[in-house]
Amino acid sequence: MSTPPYRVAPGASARPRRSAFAAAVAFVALASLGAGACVSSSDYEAVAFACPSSDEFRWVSQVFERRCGTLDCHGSYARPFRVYGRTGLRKPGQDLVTNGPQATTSLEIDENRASACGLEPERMEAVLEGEADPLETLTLVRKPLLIEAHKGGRVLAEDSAGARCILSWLDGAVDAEACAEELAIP
Amino acid sequence: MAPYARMRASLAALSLLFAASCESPVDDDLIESLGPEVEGVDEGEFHRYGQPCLACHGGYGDGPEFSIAGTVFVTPAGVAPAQGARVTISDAVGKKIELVSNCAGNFFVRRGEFDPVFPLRAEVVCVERDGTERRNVMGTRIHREGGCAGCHERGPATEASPGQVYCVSFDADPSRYARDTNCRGGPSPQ
Repeated sequence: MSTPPYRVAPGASARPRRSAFAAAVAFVALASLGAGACVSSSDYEAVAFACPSSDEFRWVSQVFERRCGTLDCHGSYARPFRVYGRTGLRKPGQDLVTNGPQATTSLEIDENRASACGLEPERMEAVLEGEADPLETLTLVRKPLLIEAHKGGRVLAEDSAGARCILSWLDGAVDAEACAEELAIP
Repeated sequence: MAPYARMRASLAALSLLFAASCESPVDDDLIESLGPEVEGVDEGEFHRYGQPCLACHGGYGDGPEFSIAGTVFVTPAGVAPAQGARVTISDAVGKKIELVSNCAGNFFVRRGEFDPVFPLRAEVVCVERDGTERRNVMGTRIHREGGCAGCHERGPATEASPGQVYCVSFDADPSRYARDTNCRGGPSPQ
C-alpha cells in the first residue's frame, strides 16, 4: 500500500480525510468543467453567416448608429450587437476618435453589417431564405420594437421610418427614403 | 470539528464567497478601480470630480442614489473644473431639470427629485467671468447612463469616449471661469 499524499493527524482515521479530499477534488473538477463549458476553442473559429446585401447598407448603418450605437448602449465592446460610428465607438487601430472629424468609415459600416448578421446567424439565414418572419424571429428587430424585452426600451415604433428602413434591408432592397426620414429625427 | 463537518463548512463558505462575488463583479471592479479619496477632501459634493459618479451613487454602491451626475471641466484635457455651469437635462416625456456645477465642477440630482425617462437630451451652458455664455448641446441622446463619466472619460477624446465634458474646445485660461479659491474639492486620482 502506498503512502497517502496527506498527513493523518493523531487519533484520526485516514478514510474521512480521503473522502473529504475526494470531495474537494470533485468540487474543483466540477468548477473547472463549469468554467470550461463557457468558452471553448470553437468559440474563436470563424463562422460563415448569411447576410442581406451590403448595397445601400450605409443608410441602415446610420440608423443603427443613431438609434442603437451610443456609447451607453451598443457602442460598446461588451455588446454582442456592437455598433461603430462617428458619434459612438470607433474601430480600434484606425486613429479614429469619438465625435472626431472623421465620418463613419466603410470598414466600420462593414463591421456593423457583420455584427447585425452575426448576432443570430441561423435565424438570419432562415429569414433570408423566406422561412421566417423577422418580426417573429430576429432579436435585431424584436428588441428595438420592444416585441421582446429590451433594457433600452422601445427605440422604434413598428410603423416608424426606422423600422421600415431596417426591414427593407432584410427584405433585399433598402428603402433609403425611410432611412433618411428616420435620420431627420434627432 | 469532524473532518466531514469541516469540509462542509469550507464548501459552504466558498459557496457564499462565490455568491457574494457574483452580485456584480463588474461594478465591484469599477468601484475598486476608483481608488481612495484624495487626501484632505472628504466624501461629499466636492469629492472625486471627473469620476463615474453612479458607480457608487447609482443604487449599487453605498452613496445616496443619483439619477444624473457628472463634472464639467473648462477644457478637454485640463484638470480645472468649471464652476457655475448650467446643465439642462430634458427627458423623453418632457420633464426638464437645470443643475448648476459647484466649485469642483460637480453637479447631481437625487433620484427622488428627478427620475427621468430615457432617452435624455443634455446641454451645458458655461458662464465666463465677463458674463459670456458658451452653450454646448450634446450631439447624441443619453439612452441609459445617468453618470456623464460612464461615457465621458477623463481627458481628451479616444476611440471609445468623447472625453470629459468641457466648456471650451481650445486651450483656454481656466481663470476665465471664476472659481471659489477656497473650494474643498480636489482632483480625483484619475
